[in-house]
Amino acid sequence: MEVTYLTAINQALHEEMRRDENVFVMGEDVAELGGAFKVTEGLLQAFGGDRVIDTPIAETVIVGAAIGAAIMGMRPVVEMQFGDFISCAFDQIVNTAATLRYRHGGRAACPLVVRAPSGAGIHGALFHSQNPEAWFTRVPGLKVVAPATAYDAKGLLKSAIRDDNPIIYFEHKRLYRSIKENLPDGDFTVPIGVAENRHPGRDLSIITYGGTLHQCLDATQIVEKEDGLSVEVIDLRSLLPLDRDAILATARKTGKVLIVHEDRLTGGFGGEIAAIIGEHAFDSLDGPVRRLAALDTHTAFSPPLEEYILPNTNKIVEAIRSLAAY
Amino acid sequence: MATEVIMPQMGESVVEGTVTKWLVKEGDMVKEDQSLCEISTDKVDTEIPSPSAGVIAKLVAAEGQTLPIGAVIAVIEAPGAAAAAESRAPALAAAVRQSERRPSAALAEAAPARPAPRMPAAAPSSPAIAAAAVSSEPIAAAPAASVSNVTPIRPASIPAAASGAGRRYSPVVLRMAEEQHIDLSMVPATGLGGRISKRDVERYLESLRPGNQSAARANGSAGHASAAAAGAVQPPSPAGAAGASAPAPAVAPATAAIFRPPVYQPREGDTVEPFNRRRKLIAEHMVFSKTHSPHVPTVAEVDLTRVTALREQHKRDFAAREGFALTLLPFAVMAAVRALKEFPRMNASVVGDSLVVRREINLGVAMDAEEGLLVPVIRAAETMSLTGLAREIERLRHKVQDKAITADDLAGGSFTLSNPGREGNLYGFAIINQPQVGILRMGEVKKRPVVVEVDGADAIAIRTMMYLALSYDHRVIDGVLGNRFLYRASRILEESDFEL
Repeated sequence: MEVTYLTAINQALHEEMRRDENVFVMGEDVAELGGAFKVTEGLLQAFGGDRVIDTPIAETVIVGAAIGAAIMGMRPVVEMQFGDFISCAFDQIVNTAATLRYRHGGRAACPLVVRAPSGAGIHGALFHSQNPEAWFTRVPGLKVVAPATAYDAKGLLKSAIRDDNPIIYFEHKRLYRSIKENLPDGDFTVPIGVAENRHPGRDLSIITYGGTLHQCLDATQIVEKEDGLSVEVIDLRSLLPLDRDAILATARKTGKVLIVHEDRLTGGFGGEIAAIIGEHAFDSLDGPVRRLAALDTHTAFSPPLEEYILPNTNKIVEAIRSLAAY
Repeated sequence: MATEVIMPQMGESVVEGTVTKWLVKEGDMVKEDQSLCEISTDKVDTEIPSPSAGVIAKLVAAEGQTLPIGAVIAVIEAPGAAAAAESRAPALAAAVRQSERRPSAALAEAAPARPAPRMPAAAPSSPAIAAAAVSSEPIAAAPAASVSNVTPIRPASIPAAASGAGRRYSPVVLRMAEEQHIDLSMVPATGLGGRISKRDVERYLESLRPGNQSAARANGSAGHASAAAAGAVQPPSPAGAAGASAPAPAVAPATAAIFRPPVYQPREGDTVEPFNRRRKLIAEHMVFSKTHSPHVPTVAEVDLTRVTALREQHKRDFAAREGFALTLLPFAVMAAVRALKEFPRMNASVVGDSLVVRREINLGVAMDAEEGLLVPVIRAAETMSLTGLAREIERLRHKVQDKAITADDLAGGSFTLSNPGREGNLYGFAIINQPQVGILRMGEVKKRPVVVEVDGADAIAIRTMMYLALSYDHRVIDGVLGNRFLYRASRILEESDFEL
């Protein structure tokens, strides 16, 4: 059966809660309302109020309470209603969850999943459009994933719930109902830290993750048809740990790399990827490593301005053409 | 007050010059406009006049050293300021000595007078410059030349050819050049701003692969057999086409580049003449032309009896009127120009993957010169009368003789005529002057018995004959066109319908 990205997440939650009674869900409006986006719909009816808990509007409390539960052996999955507000819980995530294992000689686990609906392109303006992944990708002790397909959304969430480390799970809001695919029956997981080659190519590589994957694939089709260019598209899927081998393999193969993400350019994760390539694949480069990202400003509410600020298929096509011509 | 003498701009496309000889020494008093040194560039040789009067405080450039346009080659102190210059001189001298020590031992041995390798501005091997390519920012302009950075930074691992052309290459292109022993100046560039891309190198390697041609023939590939029927020259297969059926040895994709002549063993009495700048450029140009353009040699027999009679008839008046002798050359030039007008595709250039047909006929005429052949260009030759062509040839010949030829005199040719002349040259085939597509070469003019038709009957007559040879680029000129053009040029000469 074809399921949306949103349904895939919902299925993963149902299946994991059935599989392991230590798994429980917490967040703002996740129980009675079924979540602001209906991601947690049906969980309250299926598992009851002890395992599907509405909380006050206080992200630091949500994450703090979840960390305590995780230390005691539970497997909390908490929702930040919008990923933008994860900054309220920043201290709990960065100073508490991420350091637990280090503070206790490796003996304390913190099996926590923080679901962060993120991303722009839905006219959500400044507080409902952010891509905060780069604040966490430099924190040892965390894992950061950003699925771009329904299959990965389900498989990575299951892997995250079963992992003994705190995981930030970025789910892209624009993908919730815009993509659909057939998922296999039965239980499956997607390994954390492994990238996926979505479209093998020869002339140039795009490295991306999350919401921009689909724009990159569309752009790849366009340049293949109109310019005869063969473009490889790597979907990172996990940002921490990072699949450096996949990054270096594609850079060495094509010699030209375009990095695309929806987060802002400066300090965005693309800089890290570019640095890895520059350091370890320098003698395979046939052109500058290029980045295409949101402009260094806040996402505007006005649709034309939002379009102007964010990467899109046309901008990716242009970037491919200019790098291919280099 | 010190004045810096810089390497001047000597033509649009000139990027550097070599100081061949200093005419002054340090401490000399010089007047404004006094010649300071002789320089040679890839286009012209000239002298640099002093920009001001004063004392030569420092000769920055050594004889034989090649520097980019704008680089400081000497420092002149105003009279009276010489003492101040003294204190600066040692540091400058040290910098120069440092730069002189760098050329590799092999180069120094083979050619002691060889110019030092080029400026870092042109060298892609500097990690700082190359690393700039990683950011998405536009690559900063190369640092301006100064005395201190004359020292070229060139790790031993990078082939000389890679950094020699004054271009910058991406890291992967440099690495491939090193691994495959490629002279990057031979690789046609399709990248932005004339850059050589990785694909360009791959295509070039593919074109060199010997397996492509011979193996395809051995397999009797139908596609190749029919293509071969059109001409003697087999085009290199596009990437991957023949590769599958004819796996080439992986070890030596660039067989031609791997050959090394035997090491020279000096013998008493031998003299070593290092290539001068012009000779070096001629050599590079000739090798480039031969490896890039499949030359088809074609030769026509031309009866010059009428033209020589016309010349005899007018030569006295002409010399009296014009002050120089009327030779056969303007007639041949005129015949070439008229034939080019009829076949404009011969008046063309190869630019990348395109043939550019030129509107103006800018006819290059090869002329002998002391340091090597020069090909000055007669501009808009299609607008000139025979006398006009003769005058222009004479004017250019004088400039060549007086070493007054400029880079602009030599630029922009669209076709070339060569006339090595004199005895012993029955005929020969010239090498195409790139990026043109053809070159005519005149053979020896000689009386011969030939069969002619007189009133319907064959007879043997003594005629003034010449072989006119055409080399054309078979990438862009097919046999039919080449032959028709040559035939027309020879007929025009034979018919001798010229006005004097």
